[in-house]
Amino acid sequence: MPTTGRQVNFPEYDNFLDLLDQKGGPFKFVTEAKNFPVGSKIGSLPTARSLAEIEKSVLESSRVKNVIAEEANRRNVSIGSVRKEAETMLKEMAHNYNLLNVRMFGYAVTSIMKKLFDGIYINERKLQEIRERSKKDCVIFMPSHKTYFDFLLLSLVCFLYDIQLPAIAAGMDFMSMKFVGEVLRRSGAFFMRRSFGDDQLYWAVFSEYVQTHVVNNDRTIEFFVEATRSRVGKSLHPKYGMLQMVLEPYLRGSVFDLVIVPVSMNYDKILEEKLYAYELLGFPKPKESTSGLLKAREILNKKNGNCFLTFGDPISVREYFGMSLHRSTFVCQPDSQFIIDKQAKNEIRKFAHHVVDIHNKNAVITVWNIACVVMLQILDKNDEAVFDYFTLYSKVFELIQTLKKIGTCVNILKNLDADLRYYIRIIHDDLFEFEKIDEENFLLKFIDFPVEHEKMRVSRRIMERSVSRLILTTYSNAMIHSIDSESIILSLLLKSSENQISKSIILTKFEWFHNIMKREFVIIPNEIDKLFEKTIQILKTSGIIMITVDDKLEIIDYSTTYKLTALIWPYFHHFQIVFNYDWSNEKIENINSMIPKIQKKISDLYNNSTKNVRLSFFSTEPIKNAITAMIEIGAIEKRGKNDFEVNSTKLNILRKEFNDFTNNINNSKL
Amino acid sequence: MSGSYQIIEHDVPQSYRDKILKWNGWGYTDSQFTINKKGNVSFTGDKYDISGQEMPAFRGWFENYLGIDLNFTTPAQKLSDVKIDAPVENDDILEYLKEKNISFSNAPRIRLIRGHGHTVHDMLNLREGKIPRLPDVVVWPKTEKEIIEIVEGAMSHNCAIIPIGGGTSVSNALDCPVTEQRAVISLDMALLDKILWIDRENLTCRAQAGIVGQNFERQLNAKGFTCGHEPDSIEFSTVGGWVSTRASGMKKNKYGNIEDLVVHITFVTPKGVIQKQCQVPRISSGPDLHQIILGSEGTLGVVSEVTMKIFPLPEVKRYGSFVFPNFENGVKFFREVARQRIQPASLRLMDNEQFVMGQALKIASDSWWHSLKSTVSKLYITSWKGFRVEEICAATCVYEGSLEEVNEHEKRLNALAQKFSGVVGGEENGQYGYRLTFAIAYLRDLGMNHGVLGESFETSVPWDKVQTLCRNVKELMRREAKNQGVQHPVLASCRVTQVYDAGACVYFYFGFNARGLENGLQVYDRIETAARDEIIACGGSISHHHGVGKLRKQWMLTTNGAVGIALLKAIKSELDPANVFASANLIDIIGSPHSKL
Repeated sequence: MPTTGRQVNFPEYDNFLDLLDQKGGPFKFVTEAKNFPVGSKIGSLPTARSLAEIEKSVLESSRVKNVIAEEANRRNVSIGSVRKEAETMLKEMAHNYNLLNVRMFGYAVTSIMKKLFDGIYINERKLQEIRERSKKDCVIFMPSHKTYFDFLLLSLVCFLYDIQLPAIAAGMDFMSMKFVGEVLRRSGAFFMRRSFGDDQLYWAVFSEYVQTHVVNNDRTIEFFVEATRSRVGKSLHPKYGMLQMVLEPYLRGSVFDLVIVPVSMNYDKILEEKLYAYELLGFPKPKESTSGLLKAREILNKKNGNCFLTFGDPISVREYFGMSLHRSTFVCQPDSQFIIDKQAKNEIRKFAHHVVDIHNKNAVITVWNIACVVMLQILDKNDEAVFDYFTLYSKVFELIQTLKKIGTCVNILKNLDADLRYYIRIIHDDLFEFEKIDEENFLLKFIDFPVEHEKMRVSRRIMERSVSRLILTTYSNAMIHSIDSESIILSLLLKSSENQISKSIILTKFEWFHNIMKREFVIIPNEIDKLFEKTIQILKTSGIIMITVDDKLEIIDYSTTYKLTALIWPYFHHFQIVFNYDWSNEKIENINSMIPKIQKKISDLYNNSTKNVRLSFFSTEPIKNAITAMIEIGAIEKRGKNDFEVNSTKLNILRKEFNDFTNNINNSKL
Repeated sequence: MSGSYQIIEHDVPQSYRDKILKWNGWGYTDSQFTINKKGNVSFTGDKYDISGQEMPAFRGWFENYLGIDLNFTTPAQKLSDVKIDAPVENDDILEYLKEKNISFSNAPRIRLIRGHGHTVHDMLNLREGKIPRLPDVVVWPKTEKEIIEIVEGAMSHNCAIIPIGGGTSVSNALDCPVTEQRAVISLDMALLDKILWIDRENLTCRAQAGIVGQNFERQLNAKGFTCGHEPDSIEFSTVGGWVSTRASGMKKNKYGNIEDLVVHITFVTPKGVIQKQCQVPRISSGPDLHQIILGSEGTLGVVSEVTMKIFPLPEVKRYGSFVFPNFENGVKFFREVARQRIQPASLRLMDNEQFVMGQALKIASDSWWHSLKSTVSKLYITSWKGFRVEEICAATCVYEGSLEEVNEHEKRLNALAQKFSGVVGGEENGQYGYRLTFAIAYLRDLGMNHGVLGESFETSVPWDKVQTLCRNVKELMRREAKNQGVQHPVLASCRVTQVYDAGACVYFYFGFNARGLENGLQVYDRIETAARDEIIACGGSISHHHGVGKLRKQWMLTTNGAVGIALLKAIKSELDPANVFASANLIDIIGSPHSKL
């Protein structure tokens, strides 16, 4: 059975912090002699290019030269002045990589890491393979993105294993951070504007800058396919622009091959967890500033558990795309005016989703993730519950057993009891108020976190209580990819009034629901049939359903079915609330303007003790996703800028499907 | 050799093809690379500059760069051991030929020699005694009238025809389709080898299609002219072959390719003879029918006579050479030469692999002074100029014209080369580079004696894609060889051999030691196919001048598109509805026995 989740064991995984000790501590580590493979382009000897040479190759490229000439012509100014502009852009974006700085900065980072984490686990054998591959082809790291620490850790690991430190595509917001911006720049980060839509010059300079690194294989490259840090603990819907830019040299034939390495980065505790919770509630995102980071010093004095870096199998782009992307269809275009057609774009997009899928498959699911699922379920029954450790333990144990049936592996560090106590008492103790603390079976209760003021007519008290719920959800979300498809299929079977339902009917529904939920549970477009088949096989092999001779599906293990389906319902209930909102009287200007109104509705429902309403539903991210789904399906139509209109026919169909689905899962066969 | 059937022949001519050429290798019987008593590589015979010479450094190259063990040999079968199947019976056509007094023979050796070209497949099959479907009878027309009679005879007696000129095809164009049930006539043009007239006023010359390149050129030279067309196969290929394959010559920069040189073609088809009423420098009379004949590869008919431009012999012919620090600089130099349109008659760029191989093939120096000189120049280039031996590249060129022109041209090129960090390498090295071209063809046979399979193939590509194409294709050959289990280092090399306004012609050399592989030829095929796919993916073409034959048919559809292929089919079915010219080159024809559709 295909497994999701990883068990972190030696020798597959090694603890970086142990290695650091073996090397004699951070200072010895950052000063040791390094042997990075020098960037090499096939057909020429390895050559290290200077920063000036890199810069020159961008400004002298035919694409940039063309655009400069065109711009000068369009704006009726001199070529020289546009070129100056291009130079300024380049200065703004370019990294200033310097090994000495890396060592200095590395010392600080390593010392902090040592303090912050109990363990940094890496599946190191893959790294040796990656190092070998990087000698021939440009290696591109595509990590999952949950925290700022992602890129610090990845660079550190590259340093450790003598892999060229990545040139990291970072957002402009980092650049404005004093000191840190410069440090990042010197350790190889380059900065991109968040949006540069129509600016042809910026576009040309930026893509040429990225691509010169790809083509010359000066360094490895790193970018985040989710584009931004996921605040919700699970994968975000991928973005495609950067991937397309990086793949272009391959499509153009400028490189023989590229090697993509998906990296799953998982944390016992995400350092930004509380910031995220506030942000998701709708309190404005604090500007990335150094002082903000320094305030995080209180975080530094706390233990933050472990982090897990799982490097996926390196993917040869040449092998992956094989014949699906015919490079020969691009060759009638001159190199300097390269355009990727629609079919190719679709293939590239699909690949982005594929990478996210690998992030999920290789993600480490911890006992804490499971505990959060369980605790949220406890709170569903009584939102002010005080519960004891033993209850929690037994429910966590039970859920882990259930997940094992469908091939989901939950990582156990020592043993379940030790892990659970470690997470609750040491790593995440700031969420709880403990009672009878000295007893083995102590009692737990969630604490409230202060908020500055009420918001959107939602009372401050509710807001304060919801912070911990959002944090819990962030962690519980981290396991949802392992059961989403299974639970949807089982829910569909449960809902039906008949015992046996034909596979094709379920497939149609499965596709429909997955499509609505695609921003919550990332899937690979056009491969939903495959996903369905795979999931059916898992459910069959695990003895949860059977497939009759005439290709009908029937549940045989109801107990497991209930447990699994219960995990997915909150996501559907959340969407349902958004869909059932009374849209008829709304003048919709944009999505964001609607969010507070829906939050208010959620608060009302909560106050009326409506079933299945969680405080975590205040989270803006799923609300946004639900509204986007409505737009995509046509229930809300975009008529112009800041002008949306509800299509009530389509909205009613959507509501009916969802109400049927959720009502039935609530009532049927239970 | 045994062929247990009755030999029927009539008035068989004495042909060079049967007398002085190898039956299972390249070129003249007396000329080959061998390992001499000292254990060094040397070249036999007396036809070339290097004949009788020793190349002391080459054995080392051979061993190191291809992983050859000279004690391991894969000798070819003897001709006497080869078994030849009886021809398809068709007494009517033999009767007909006799009646018309046309020379013919069905003798085994005669058939064998005309049943193949020079691909690695062809050679390996012959060496291993795997004889493919052969033509059933060989005919030698002596006049254009006889050609027409042969075509008519083939039509009325249910035969197929495959014309043969020099037989130097490297596209399987001469192979008989295995599925062909009819008797196949090999139409050997060898007796149609005369220059009909030379027109000094218009500088044109009419020749029969079977005339071999070097004879044609020699006869023109004797009268003070040159034809200007010099393909690497000029020793053996014929004027008719040049036309039917769209050949390209080394000195096309000065004289043009075959399509630029041809003024008039007479073409015999099953529907009759195609020819124009006049011989003019240019004509607007609808689409140019010459372009249908050029590159038709024997599928529509046979070229019988050609009128070509000729040129007064140049006053001076001088070689030149340059050394560049790397391939990239060399390509940039070439690009600039094309931009400024200052191409010398010929200009070629070898990559590092070929440069190294070329050095290894140098003949034993006869004096200490000679070797000292090359040591000094080597030192100059590597130490003084800082070139790296692993990246160094060389370009060779030929200047032709008046002394003044040549001097001026040379000066300009030398100056330009310096801008790209090029070092002028002297005339001797340039001449050596061109001599090597003729030798390389013989080298494969030496390799084959020791388990090496190798081939060259070519393409054309726009300037902006030259470098990426060269790099990717070479890399693909190396990686694919490894994937396919080749255990030794491979030779993956290329050179830029032609310079155009909008691009270049690139030649690849690929060879590997197949020792230890279960089916080396299959491995070779996979790699060549993958290499061609890569060429096309990188913006290159199906072929620059070798043509399509049967070897590259699979890329015709992507190259020309469905409508284009339909048009070619329509032309075929109009000119040759019964598929008499049944070589099955270029395209598959619906309804014909070899069609895959």
